[in-house]
Amino acid sequence: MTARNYSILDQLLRDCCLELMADYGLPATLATPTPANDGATDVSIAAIDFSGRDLRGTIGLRMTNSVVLETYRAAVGAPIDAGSTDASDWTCELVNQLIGRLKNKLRSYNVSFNVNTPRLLVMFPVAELERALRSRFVSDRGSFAGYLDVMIAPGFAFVDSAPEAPLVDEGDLVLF
Amino acid sequence: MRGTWFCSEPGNTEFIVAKRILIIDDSASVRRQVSGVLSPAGFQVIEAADGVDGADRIRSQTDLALVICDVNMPRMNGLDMLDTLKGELAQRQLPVVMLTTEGQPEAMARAKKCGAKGWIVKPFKEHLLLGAVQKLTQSGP
Repeated sequence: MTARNYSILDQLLRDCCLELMADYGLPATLATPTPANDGATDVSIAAIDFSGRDLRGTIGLRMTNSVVLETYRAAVGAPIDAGSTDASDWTCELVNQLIGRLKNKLRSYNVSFNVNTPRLLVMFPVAELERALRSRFVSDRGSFAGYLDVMIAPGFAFVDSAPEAPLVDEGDLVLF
Repeated sequence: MRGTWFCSEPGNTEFIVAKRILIIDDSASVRRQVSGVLSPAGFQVIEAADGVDGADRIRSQTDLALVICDVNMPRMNGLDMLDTLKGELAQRQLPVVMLTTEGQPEAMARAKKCGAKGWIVKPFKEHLLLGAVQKLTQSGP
């Protein structure tokens, strides 16, 4: 049961990372194996905490600065400098969108949680993420990695369940 | 009254008031992204960084045409802000569109109950955001 839980979360993390970057014009592929620290120094990292009845933990997103700059340019249409306030803000926004994707996908398992506000991490490796599920990806504009340090409630198991309400996906607009 | 001057033809200058949109989001990048979509379409965009700041701007800016609001923000989240202001928003017939990473039906239902007119999940599609703003402000800028 535990292995299946982590396997599902690992796959969801990968999907979320790939879809997030693809939405900003950055198709990527999974890099294996995934080291805890690939030695790159020109990186930006943000994390966000979440807590719910079944799951709680931290999700992190580590990107080379080239990925931060490229996705910002795709989103806003303007360049920014690496290490700037704008780059830090965008790094946090990306991890915010990453947890949003994960939360939306977990609706298929009737799992939800509350999400904190994102925070920028200035040091790496970060102790809290060293034990985490992690996947690293490479693209032609740089590399990025997603981390998921999660505690699962005792006895919990992911069970497929049809959502009661229609799923609203990223980019969707609903007018009431 | 603030507005934007448009000169339709030489010697004939008319004063057209650009509709004012408030974007409330703790990410400056998202605020800039929204402004980059709406400003070229003729809207005037003003900003707030969280629910407390946003509520202040809504109360002080009596000529707003629409509010775009994030959910997860520090100090006061967007749904709590909406709940706090729902009477005033209804009285002013001020439409609110939530712009968030969240897609939870419970959160959407709460926003609708508090008077929100729309919900967009980030990352947003520019034409959908602009279309919603134009529709909810009726005739555009």
